Amino acid sequence: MLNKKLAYEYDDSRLVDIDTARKVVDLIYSLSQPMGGTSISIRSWHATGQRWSRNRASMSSDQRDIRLSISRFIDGGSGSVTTNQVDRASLESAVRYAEERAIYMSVAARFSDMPLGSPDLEVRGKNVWSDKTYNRTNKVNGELVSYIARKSEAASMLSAGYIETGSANSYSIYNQDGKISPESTAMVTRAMCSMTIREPRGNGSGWAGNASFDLGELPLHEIADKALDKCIRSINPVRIEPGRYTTILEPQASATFFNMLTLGFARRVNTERGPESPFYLDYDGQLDIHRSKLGLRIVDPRITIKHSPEDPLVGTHPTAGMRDILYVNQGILNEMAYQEGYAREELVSRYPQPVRSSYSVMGGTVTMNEMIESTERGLIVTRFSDPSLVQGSSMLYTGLTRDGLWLVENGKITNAVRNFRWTESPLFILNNLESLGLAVPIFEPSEIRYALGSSSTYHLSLNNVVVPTIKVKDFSFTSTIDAI
Amino acid sequence: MNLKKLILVLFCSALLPIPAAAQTMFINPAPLVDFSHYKYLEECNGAIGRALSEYSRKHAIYTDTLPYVLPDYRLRLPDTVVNIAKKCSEKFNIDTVPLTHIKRWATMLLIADRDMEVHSMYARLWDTLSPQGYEEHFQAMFDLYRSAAPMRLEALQMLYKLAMDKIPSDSVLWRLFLEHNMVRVYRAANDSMASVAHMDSIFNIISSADSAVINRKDVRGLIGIFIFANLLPLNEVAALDSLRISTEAYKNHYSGFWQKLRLPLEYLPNWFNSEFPALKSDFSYRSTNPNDSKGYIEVPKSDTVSYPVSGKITALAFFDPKCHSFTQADRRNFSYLQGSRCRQQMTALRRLKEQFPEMEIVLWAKTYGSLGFYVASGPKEEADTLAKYMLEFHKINGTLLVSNTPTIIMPGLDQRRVDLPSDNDLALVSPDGGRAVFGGSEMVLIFDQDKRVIHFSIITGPEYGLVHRKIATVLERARNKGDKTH
Repeated sequence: MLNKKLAYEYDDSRLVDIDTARKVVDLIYSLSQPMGGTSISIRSWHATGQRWSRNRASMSSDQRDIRLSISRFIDGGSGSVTTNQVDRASLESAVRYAEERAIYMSVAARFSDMPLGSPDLEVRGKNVWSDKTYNRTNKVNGELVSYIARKSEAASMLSAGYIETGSANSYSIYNQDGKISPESTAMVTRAMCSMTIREPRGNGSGWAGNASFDLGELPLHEIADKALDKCIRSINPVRIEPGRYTTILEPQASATFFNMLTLGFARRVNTERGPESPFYLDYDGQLDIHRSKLGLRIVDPRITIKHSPEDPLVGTHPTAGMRDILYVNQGILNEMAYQEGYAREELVSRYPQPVRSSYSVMGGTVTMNEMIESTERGLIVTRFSDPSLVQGSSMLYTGLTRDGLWLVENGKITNAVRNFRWTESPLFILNNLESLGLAVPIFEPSEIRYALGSSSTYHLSLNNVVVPTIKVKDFSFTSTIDAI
Repeated sequence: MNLKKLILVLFCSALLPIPAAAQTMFINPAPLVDFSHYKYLEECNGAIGRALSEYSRKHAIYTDTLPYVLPDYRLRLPDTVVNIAKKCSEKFNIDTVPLTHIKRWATMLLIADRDMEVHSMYARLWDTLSPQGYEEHFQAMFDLYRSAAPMRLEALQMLYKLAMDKIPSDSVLWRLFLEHNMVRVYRAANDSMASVAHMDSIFNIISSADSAVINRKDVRGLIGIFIFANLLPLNEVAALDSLRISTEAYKNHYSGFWQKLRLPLEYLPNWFNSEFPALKSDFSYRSTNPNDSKGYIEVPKSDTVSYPVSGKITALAFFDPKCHSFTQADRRNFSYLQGSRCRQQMTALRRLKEQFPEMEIVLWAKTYGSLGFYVASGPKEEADTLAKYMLEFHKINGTLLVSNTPTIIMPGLDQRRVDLPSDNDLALVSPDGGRAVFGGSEMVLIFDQDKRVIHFSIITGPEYGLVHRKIATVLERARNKGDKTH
């Protein structure tokens, strides 16, 4: 009998294991009055984090929490409670409240409408889980921070950044027998690292970072070396005239523009509402409907953007309603996301097309060196900061270049360059594509605790993006800025 | 154990994590009120609000549980709430409280049954009020009295007269404002005669006013609100024999009224009191005995009747599947369609049939492709589901007509289903003359025995009493007519 705090809070297990989850479920069932139905979801997360600045560790954290949701369904009414306390007294109080609420709501539901069935969506995806990430300790992360700090100090530079690893799991019990089935169990891990190394007087800055579900895929020492190298190479930048330049966007920079583009795919219903959307085509007066650019070419034919739930680089754990999404197929707008209501009302279909923040862009074969060698005069961008929307229907954004910008002349990198403000649209640059590099995972911040979502959703969501280096013509840099 | 060991144990135990107390406060605390500590009006109003919400939580009123006679709904508030207001208001000297937050004071005093003090507060306010404050305070006063339970019509009438005396006689705007709000209050109280009396006052004000004043922007704006809020529904009232003015007379009255306002006459629901075209349908169903396991049967084409039915009072309801809002929190077992508007209509129709068994209830729906989470495989299956949903589940004792909506599927990757107007949509253009059709609303039309429209509206709570009286009047008229014939 669980009359004390559950054991997991005091032992070394970072997440609620299945045995503990079963105990909680059994206890909730035993505390419930013998009527109606019960649904339970137990979600837990754990995260370790190391932050440092000016070559000194500033925070070492180890956090964990659970979220237990109990819903009771009685006589057509429902009542729910969410808590993170799982001792007997708390659970009993939670169950009583859920029951009281369900009985209260049943008065309304008795005269409510009958259930007409909901779609039984296909479950797809694989658990993106890595034991190496799950077992990572702050001690090991601390050693890495120490390595970066020592190396930066040796080079007379200042470093700052963070390393986070985390894991989350979820058990959902909807069946009346209270059994936890493998299909209702989800597990994810996440590791990410971002660091900036700067010259102490502000004459140069270099950034590097990456994220993955598997810590083994994150070469943390290489990332640190890359940031330091970029910093040293960016010292004493020259000022050049703003204007349109042939530009090589490293994956972290190109992702900014692919993110803008995919954001436009998020809601088909908005596109079909009026001309404010970038993928709006025209108004059909005969049928009284707005048409979108579905089926029309919107970017260069070499661009293909997709999401596959089974791809470990961008996929997520097994989730209902997941399916392959081909947003852009060889430059043609192929799909946009829509919800269940839109599917039913507009497409007479039971299946929604959920929004996925994870996606991959099919890359090319051109290497970075080949791109540089083929450039007569152009720029290389490490990453962008602060992109903000200027105009929606043309997807015009403005932002800054940061942490490493170099001039290429006659096939060679000749100088570090002062940063620019840019004003540009993904629709323009992805139609001015010169070459595509290999697609690689990039750094996309996504904290594990937020992967749990709200209490009404039981899937875990993370941002994973795989994009290539791209070389584009006539990228518009509109003014120089003094920031490094 | 020596002292050092004891200190060490105490020190170590202080370092151990202290288990958090159990969370047992999921249930709302009871609204206990300790008046002795209260100093401010806000504390009293807070206590009243808590007591009211607790009462509402425990005694929630749902459409289906309401009594037939709707004015009864606005019964006296529960004693707990009234007692809090009484005890709390005793702590203050109402004669001297500042008038800056008069609405808050009046709210508490009305609940405490101290109507005369509300009256004296407003009398004090009117003495000091300048025209700049008219709108704010007049509006607040009407809001207060419209939501008061039980309604205080006599007290409001006194305040209205007091305010009318203060307003300069040439102030058309504010006189109209007060009259318009009185109409709204009496309509909410289902007192048609009183509301018509105030409408007459409005017509009189307009008749005697200069045309330039009437077409002034602020005055014309107010009249516009008045027309759409009160005048158009008045047609329904006008159809009742119990009222002294006939529909035709009102139409004529409006004619001059609209001309004076320089607005098009077409805004009037000119199909009112005119014969309705027969409805067309592809599928027809009738409810069966409620005790049968299947609550409906399909009516063969050869047996279908023309609706509205001649010689009977007919209620024709247009059912729009979109009036449901869908919950999709859980996808497995616990999803329900929830749509208060639909439910209200169904409830109203069920009751009308119970009270007037001779009445014919007809529902008309269009195929739409889906209903709730259910996506139909074809029009016939959808029509069957609609019959199951509306006749069997909602226990509507009547007929369901379903039109197969002509559709096209957009080519290419678009694949949207585009609905085209059905025959009924083309025949029944909405009152505003636009493309909106009845099939996209939840409008209920009531026809008399001659297939003439005597009422149209979405039947929400307050409308029910009006519809009920109207049908009773028409039936009585028919009976009287029959008696005279014999």
